[in-house]
Amino acid sequence: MPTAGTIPIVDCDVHPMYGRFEELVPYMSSSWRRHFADRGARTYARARDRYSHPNKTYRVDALPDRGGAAGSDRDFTLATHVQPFGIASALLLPQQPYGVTAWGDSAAAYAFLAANNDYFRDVWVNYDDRFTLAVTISPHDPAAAAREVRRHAGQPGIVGIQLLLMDKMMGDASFDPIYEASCETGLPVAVHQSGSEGCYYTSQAVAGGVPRSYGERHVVLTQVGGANLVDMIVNGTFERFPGLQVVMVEWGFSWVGPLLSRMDLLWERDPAAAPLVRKPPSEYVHEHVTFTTQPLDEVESRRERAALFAPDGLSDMLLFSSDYPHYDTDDPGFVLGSRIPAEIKEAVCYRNAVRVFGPRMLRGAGAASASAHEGVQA
Amino acid sequence: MIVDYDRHVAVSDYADLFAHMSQSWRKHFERDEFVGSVRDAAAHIRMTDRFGDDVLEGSAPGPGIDLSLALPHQGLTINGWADQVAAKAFIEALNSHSEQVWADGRARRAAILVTPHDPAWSARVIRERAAAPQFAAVALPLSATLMGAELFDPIYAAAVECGLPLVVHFSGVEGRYLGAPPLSGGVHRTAFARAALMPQLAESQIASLCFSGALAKHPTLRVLFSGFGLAWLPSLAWRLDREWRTFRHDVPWVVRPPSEYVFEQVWLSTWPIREAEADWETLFAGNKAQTRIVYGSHDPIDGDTPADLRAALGHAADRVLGRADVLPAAMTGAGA
Repeated sequence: MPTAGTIPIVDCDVHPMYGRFEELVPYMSSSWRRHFADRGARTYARARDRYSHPNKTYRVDALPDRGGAAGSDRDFTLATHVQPFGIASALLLPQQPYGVTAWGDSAAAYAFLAANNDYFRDVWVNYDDRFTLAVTISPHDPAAAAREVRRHAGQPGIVGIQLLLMDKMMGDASFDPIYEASCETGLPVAVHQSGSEGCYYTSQAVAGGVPRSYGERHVVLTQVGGANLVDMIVNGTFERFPGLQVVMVEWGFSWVGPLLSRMDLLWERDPAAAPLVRKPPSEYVHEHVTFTTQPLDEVESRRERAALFAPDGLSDMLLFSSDYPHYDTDDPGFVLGSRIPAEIKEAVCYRNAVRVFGPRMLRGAGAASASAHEGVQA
Repeated sequence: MIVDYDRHVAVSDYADLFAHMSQSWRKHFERDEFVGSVRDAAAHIRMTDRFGDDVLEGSAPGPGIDLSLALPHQGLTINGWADQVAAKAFIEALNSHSEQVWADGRARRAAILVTPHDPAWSARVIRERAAAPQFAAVALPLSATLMGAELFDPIYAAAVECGLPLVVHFSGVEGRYLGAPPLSGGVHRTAFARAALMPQLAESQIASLCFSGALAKHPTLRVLFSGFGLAWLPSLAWRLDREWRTFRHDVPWVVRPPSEYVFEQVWLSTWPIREAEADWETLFAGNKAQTRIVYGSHDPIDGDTPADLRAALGHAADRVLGRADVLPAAMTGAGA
């Protein structure tokens, strides 16, 4: 158990899974049950259609003792990840829905997403108050997405929205109903790469062409996060939605400072080139956008580490994440123990997450450990 | 010696190139829309949505510059052409124009334009032209195939054999014309967004050159990415090495951390230096990445002078300005 004084940890990227498709069936109408029984459902990140991972995409030690896929056993996740590291809140970002980014059938996508949302609320969030959930929606049908957000808003443990990306970037006006629902309900929009990037015409690409291997693609996958950031700023998204909060999950962050410097310079030189931008672009990012820490760049020296965390305002923009149970999980003990500078550790561990997601991010035991910590601090 | 690695040159009238074309190609290009599109080609390199910019001809080195490398940027725009056969006649005419007009083989040198769409032909052009003192580099426009692809090996082999570096500069139609390389994300509708994201195009090429083993296979290949900015290099180097540590058994031909290849074989030019002004000390001081930065004015298009570099980088500017190791040593007097 975390002791009083220990900094509570909010882990903003934990991937749960349902075990068998049959577990979703109670959350579907009989016609959708028949649809999926006949056709199956293509799930998970589909990067491996094009880029086969040389090992496994999950940690072998995350395979539950009782069998099943990594991330499919809530007790195992609690016992091996949440409990040992004293995680006060694990933001669940279900990954099986990532497959719908390659689906053409919008209605099927929504039937599947709604069933996932209901399943993870009932089976995970209502099981342990250290689990919190981002409701998954896709851009197939923004009106349906907004309805799905409102359907879940206000329920305990529902803290955000997991917006999947397809071909359109986030500055597109078609996302406005989603942002409206986000601002109305106070649920921030979390965006996690889905694995479809660079694989399909229905998804967004990395710059330059088609990378050859899994690792090469992973080097430049961050670019898609940057492209969406630029697109939201240039298209005035944050001017239209002054209360919008966007959480960029697993896109890295070492590229953010240089990109913002470049955008600010371009804007200063020719503001008329971006007429919907009303102030230095970096200000929008500081006010509206946060980034998760995983995958943390493995800098070599003290000087490089200083450079990694140097950009203005970064200490307010970073949220800790592990990406459990994936192959490239950032171990909370290691990363928080020796990689995040001491002076920003509290902010990165939980204060920034509570600011962005609100006090609902910490419930029950998690809230108690935070109070204990704050008490010791005070 | 101060070398300007990014000096742009352009013809003000495409008819100037007809002297370097066969009769039949002259007839092909002698149409109002082509001859009249020179201004559009000049606008592309600025990624502007405004057309009608002045065409800025000329190649004289700026004040205080000892040697300038001319890049005929109109030739880069073939990466958005539909007719890649006509494109070869066009860039060869530009090469002849470079040899006669833009370069003198002394303080003014030029890059040989080649095409990614015909590597065997490009390799022949490099070998035929490399002996002329007017030429100091090979300019490879970007196609939608990343540079690490084996199909480019003939170009790299010819460049290495002739001792010339490759220069890669965007044409400005990337992410815009079908056939040209995409930018990241989806379709960016403003020049502002395209300009903001253009550095990623260089990131992807470098990742491809590293992970596909092209830099390992051609250990004396030198590649200069010009016009893409520079502040992003440390971040890219960290990501390259992290992914290599995880996936190196998937790319066994990459026998060292990728950043080591980059820090030996890849350079970036400085324009626009002001984007790195505030971060130079943090990102580059004491970092091997600083050894990759060479001066490129981008003149005559919103260019940076050596004085701008000194204003932005302070005492570090002189090391950048004095770096001449991209070009053949015989041209710069290095090692003489």
